[in-house]
Amino acid sequence: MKRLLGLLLCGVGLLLPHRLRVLFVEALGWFAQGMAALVTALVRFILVQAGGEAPPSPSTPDASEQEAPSDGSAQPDP
Amino acid sequence: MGSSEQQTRMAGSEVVVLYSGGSDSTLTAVLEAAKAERVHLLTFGRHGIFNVENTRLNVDRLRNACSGAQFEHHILDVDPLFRWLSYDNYLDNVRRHGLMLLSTCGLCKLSMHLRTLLYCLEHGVHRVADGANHQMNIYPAQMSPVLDRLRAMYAHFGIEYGNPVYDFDGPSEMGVHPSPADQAPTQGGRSAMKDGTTDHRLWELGILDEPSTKGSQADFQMQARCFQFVLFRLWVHWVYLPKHGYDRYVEETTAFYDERIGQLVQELERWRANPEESSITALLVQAGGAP
Repeated sequence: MKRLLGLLLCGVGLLLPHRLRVLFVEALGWFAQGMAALVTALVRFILVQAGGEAPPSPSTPDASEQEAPSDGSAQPDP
Repeated sequence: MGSSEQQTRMAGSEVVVLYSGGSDSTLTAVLEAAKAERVHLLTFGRHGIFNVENTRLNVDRLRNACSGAQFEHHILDVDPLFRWLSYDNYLDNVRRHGLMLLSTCGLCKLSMHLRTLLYCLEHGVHRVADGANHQMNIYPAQMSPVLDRLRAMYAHFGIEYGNPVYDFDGPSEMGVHPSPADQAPTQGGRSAMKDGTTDHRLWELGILDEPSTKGSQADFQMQARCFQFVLFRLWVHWVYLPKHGYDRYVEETTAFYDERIGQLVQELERWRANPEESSITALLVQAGGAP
């Protein structure tokens, strides 16, 4: 099923000229992005409703978990 | 700056770095800046690539961190070159290569390499480096055998091509299991070191604020946005790999790019012999910059 859908989308992409192919792939990209955001939001909502703590968003890693190295290697080139 | 980045700069030496603004190409620029006096950072735009100006963020950080080197940043249009590489003799190519023509990311990178090569010939630069990484091995231009073909193309014109961050760790989800070709001992212009991830190294050097930026909001803010990989990855992961496997993918991809690079070298030779009659000149004029 996945392969058939893939073949269909790729077949359409193959037939399109440059600019239309760019627009077609943009649409696919935003659709995939939207689906991923929807699933993430739903999972977070379910976890919160279930009384648990929602996991931190993977797109915003917590920099405070790791401290900068203290050996001076973080210093810029003099 | 760390000891591995501290090397002797050769007077008058110049290098061109294919610069996306991400951690791989930024660390490449740092490593090259340790050896060269002037670093030409080339960022490429085309129809379908957005927010190219984001790359300026890390250029400023590079200038602050590597004060001994001089950085020049140029944003170049490769749309006509990409269109030519993707659609030239299209029906014949569809008949011969089928869905391989959806290898958009590889063809896009090839157009960037072509523009880089022309830039080097124009400016007399004899070294090129990019942020190719072994863990992005699904992308043609980061695949070991294709990198060797690109190295040969540059060498044909007296230019050395290196991948200094090739052996650094990368995001494993961007590739597939390593092929024998990707596990081969490093050679040519590649680095022999494996030193964590590139973003971690940049954080240690004080260039990035976070040790792990790949895929984060910060990552999106320092790079251009491009969704054009979607169709390519869909073809690879949903159509090609389940049926043929990775080894055959590498084999067919290498054969395809071998042919394309061969044609490119021929066209470049024609351009060198008689620029007025070469299609490359017309494409460069369309892109707004003729060397």
